[in-house]
Amino acid sequence: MIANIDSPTPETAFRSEKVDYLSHFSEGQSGTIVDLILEPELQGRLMGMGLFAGTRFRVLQGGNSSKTKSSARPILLAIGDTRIALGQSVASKILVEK
Amino acid sequence: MDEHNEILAALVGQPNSGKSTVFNYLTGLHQTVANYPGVTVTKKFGHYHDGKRRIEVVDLPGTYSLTSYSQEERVTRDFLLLERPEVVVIVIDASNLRRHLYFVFQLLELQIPLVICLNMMDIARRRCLTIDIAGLEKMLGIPVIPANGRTGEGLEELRRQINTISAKHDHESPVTWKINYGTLEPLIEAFDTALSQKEPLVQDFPPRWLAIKLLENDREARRIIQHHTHDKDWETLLESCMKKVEDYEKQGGDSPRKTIAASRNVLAETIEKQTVQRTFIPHRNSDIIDQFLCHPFFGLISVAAVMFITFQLAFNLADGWTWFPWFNEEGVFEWNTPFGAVESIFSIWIPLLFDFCFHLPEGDLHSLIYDGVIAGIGGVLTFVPTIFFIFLFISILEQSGYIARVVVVLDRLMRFFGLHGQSILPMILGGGIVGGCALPAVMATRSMREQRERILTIMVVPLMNCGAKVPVFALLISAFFLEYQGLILAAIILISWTIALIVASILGKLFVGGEPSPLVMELPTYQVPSLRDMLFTAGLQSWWFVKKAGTIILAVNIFLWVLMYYPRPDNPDTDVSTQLAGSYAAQLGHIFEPVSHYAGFDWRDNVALIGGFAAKEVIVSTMATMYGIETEDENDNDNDNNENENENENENENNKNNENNRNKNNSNNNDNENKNEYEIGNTDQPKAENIPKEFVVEGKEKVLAEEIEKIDTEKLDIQGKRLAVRLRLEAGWTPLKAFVLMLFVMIYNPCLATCAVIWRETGHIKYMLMTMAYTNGLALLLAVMVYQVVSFLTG
Repeated sequence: MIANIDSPTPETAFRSEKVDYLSHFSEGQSGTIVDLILEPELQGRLMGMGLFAGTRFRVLQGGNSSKTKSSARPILLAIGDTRIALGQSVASKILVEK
Repeated sequence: MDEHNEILAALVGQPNSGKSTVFNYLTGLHQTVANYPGVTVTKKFGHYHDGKRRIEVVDLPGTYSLTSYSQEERVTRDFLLLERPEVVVIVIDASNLRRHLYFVFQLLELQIPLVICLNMMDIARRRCLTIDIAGLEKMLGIPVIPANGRTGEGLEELRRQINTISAKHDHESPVTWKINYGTLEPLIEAFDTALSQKEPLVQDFPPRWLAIKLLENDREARRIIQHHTHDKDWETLLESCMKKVEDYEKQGGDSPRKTIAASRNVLAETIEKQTVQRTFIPHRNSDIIDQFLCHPFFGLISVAAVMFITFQLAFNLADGWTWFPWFNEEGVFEWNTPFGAVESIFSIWIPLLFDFCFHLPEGDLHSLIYDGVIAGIGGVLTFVPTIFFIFLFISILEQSGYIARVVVVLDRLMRFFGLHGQSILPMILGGGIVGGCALPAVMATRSMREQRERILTIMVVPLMNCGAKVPVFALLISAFFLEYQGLILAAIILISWTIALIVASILGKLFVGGEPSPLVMELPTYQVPSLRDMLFTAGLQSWWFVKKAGTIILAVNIFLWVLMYYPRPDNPDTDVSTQLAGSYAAQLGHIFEPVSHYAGFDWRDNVALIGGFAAKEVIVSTMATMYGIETEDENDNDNDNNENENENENENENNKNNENNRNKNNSNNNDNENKNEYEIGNTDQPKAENIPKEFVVEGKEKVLAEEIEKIDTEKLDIQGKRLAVRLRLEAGWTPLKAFVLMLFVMIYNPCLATCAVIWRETGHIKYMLMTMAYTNGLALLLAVMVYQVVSFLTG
């Protein structure tokens, strides 16, 4: 069987001002993933965990709190029913949009 | 098609899909572990019988995708393509269908005979998800079996399916399912056609899959093609491939890899929408618990608490609390520890049985069997209770999902030293808080997915202060630092953590290499652990230890026994300490003396340290023998006379030296008021001097008794306590030497049982040798440095 799909290519060439790094997001914020700027291995792993361009997520914990300017805590994401912890080094290479 | 009598089935799945539980259910106790050749990835396999057929099941490592970037992924993919299992069971989480479908697609493209085990149906139901199984089967074209590994639901059906699929298996591609990659299709088609003409290649690898992999820029796919095509065609092919990819990207598309991934994802989403219905979204308790357990402050406290409780429970159940019904040496029922029970089998019951059956005369053979073999096997099996209980609790931590939270909380701290959040558990179990055991701790690293961090953890775990080092510390503290016990103990803990963390960061950079793996961790939903799986894990790990490491440990122990027991003296009445003084071990001790004396150790200390290769607590008993201290039950007259003569000679000489020593210490004291060891040395002196010279010959028991009574520790037996008092009077023994020896014992060669397990766990002898090399080198270096510097500073 052949499953038909429309072109899935995300529009990454155009990055509006709303686009930011995941590491700058703070607790409770939701957004959409725009791009993963990571080496192929990590990219593959994250995709296997369900992180794709266009995926909706919510920051459960960690991230950039309003009090401290930057926080090196791991960031906890909710993506559907999956919960993922990402180190800051990874979160700072994921482009997201509010 | 002829009937196979043996079927090869493989289990694949993402981490946290409950694959191991399914594997445990299918194979029961018929499982074993090994390493895949050349890598540190653990290979788990087992079998079960279905009628006349024997089904071999291989539990492939859990991976999130099937690229070729990590060891696990390569192992999985190579196994599927090259070993060609008759059936591949892919275990997926029913409550997370979309994500797992993405993985299923990658397997479908390999064109292997697949069956889906839709696991964790209980969680899916709890989340009010209804899954249209028939619809899913129709869309994917492969059987889907709803299951729950924890209760066994659906797994009999899975066995039936494995049978059915393997029966109809033939060499034609069983799966013709395809994903449409939209704009990439013309490219894929072109490569597919070109590759299909390569005859030997097509037999092993589906051309369409290779084509897709080429577009994904997969190194392994290129290597495969290069390997299988011996003409230059492939280079032209690859060039044209790269050219077309460039063209494709120029046309404004994303990289083909991203397009491919996105296509799969979109399809997974579509299928999920069509087959899964959600009636109601219940609140997730896991998230509420995580607010607390992943909190930077409360999370740290709970990690500390959980680690402490795990440690206490595991070690006390194995060898602390007397809760195990057993018989004592008189055959009377009493409560013992499991450790004590195993020990008594080998120290009392089996020797008794042998006496009864064989009536061996005293001599070499007797000694070989009793002291070498029986004691050696006992030495291996006494680890089993500890391993069993440690893995029982590790299993709880893993099954419940808590271990992932430990990683989140400790990630930043441990990463700083090149370790992993998960490294904390083995380090605590290995003696991070004094007491513990490095051997099961090394085994406990098995669940760490990051191989680099796992190797590093294995290599530094032996630096922790395991329970076997404690008697040595107790001896030396009792001898020289009795009034500063707590302080010295705290210093020991601090020093070993400092060294371990520094060593980890240095080794990580110099030897193990590679970048530290960044934190990417799925937090599984909390679950109540299943008792069945807990007992399974604990039982199997214990059995594997005996099977895999037992023989090596036994051989090494017998070798060490030969070192200490031979050559036999001519006079059969020679006492133990004189015999030991003439043994091969003693000869080795003399050989090392020119080096070790820089650290203050003479040949007798070297012999004790060689004995410590078997197990560090042996240092105390060997040292006692070297210094002629007997245990109470060996106190027969013949030995006493011999020994007293010896000691008398030594003692006169020693006392002279001691006098000098003390004078030296006194002068040191003035310069170094802050040095603990000298303060203690000072307080100890009057006591030592008050002891009459003759104490060794007459009235020995009385004077010793007073001193010995002051030593109040459970960690030393009476022999050890006597030795402690005795050491204060020995020439050359100063608080400095005692401290340096403690430092040395803390760092030097892990006991050989642990070495054997390091070898087994990593699958490489090189990691064992590296560990042995650096521990001994570092121990000697630090010991010499501390001894020389302090000696120099204090004149």
